[in-house]
Amino acid sequence: MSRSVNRTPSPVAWVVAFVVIAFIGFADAMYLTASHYIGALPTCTIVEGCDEVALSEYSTIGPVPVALFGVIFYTVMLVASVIWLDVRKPVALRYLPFLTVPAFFFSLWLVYLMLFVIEAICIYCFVSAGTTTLLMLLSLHLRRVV
Amino acid sequence: MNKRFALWGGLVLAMAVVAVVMVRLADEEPQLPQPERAAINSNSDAAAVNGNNGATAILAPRENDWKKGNPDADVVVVKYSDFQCPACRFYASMDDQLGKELADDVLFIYRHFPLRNFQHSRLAARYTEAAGRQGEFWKMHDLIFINQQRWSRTDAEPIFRHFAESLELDMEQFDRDLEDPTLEERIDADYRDGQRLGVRAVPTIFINGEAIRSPNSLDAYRDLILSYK
Repeated sequence: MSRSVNRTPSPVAWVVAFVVIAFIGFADAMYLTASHYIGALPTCTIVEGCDEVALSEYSTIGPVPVALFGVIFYTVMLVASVIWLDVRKPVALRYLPFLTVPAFFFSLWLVYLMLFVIEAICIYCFVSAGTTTLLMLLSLHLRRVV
Repeated sequence: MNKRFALWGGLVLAMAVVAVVMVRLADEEPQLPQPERAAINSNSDAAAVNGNNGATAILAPRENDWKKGNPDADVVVVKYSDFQCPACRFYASMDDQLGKELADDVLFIYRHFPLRNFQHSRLAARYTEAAGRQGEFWKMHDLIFINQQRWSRTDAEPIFRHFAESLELDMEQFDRDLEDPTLEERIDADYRDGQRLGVRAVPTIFINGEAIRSPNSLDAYRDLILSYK
């Protein structure tokens, strides 16, 4: 990749893509976190199907909703990308896989719980799993191109 | 310097905008089409429907309600619920516990609000109603809730039948009752009442006519109920 850098998208393009995806994840996690704090215990609604995922014991770690970890995770991703866009030091992005890879496996675990343990679908959780996966792939790629 | 300012300013602004929009979205309640929608707002702690006479009448205990507890209690808990909803299962177990603890002080009432997004909700409601005709509503209610995960994603009817048999119901009578259209009508009537009250999620719980914000622990639920004493 680095040898044909002229014909591949510039690192900036990759980082911008990374930022866009992190924003999607941030919005999603923000929504879930807000729902958690606003909506008391999520119930099953006529319109949205059932929110039992958010009700389950797996939706929080201690008193902290899992979605809040998502908000923090995506915030870190965004800040790191902007640091790179600002100072262009590879170090800003080099260590991201240490976060994105565990986050990916955590997402996988959540999807597993959703499908096989809680047996319910939460579309927002799928979105988050998708963005986490993309961020992991991008972060692995970025550490080679920046 | 300008670039730096734009980058960081842009990030902070964009995150703030996204955060505000998402909080707004999360706060937005789906609107029910019913014109008689009672003033319920699940975001407020206890949205009162007291001022609404229609709601008061609907929530008054009825002769044919499924009740548990003291009929003369000062505190009346009316719950609109669905048998396949996991949150309802959670509340059913809390009601069961509190029904025993507070049997003298509280009257618990169960009303049907079977959501269409669940495959077996209505069937479960019919089975409890049919069991209820032989005096075993609550036992069927308990069996169905306790075993919810067993029947939710499979062919539920044989499992429900098995429950009916284990309660030693008169199965011939039971089958006739299952087919009785008035049984379905009763479930529909509960559902319509729930719609008039503005129920849009299950379980929706009313204590002495007030829609409450669903408590998320047994202790919180007990305290809330006792606060109405």
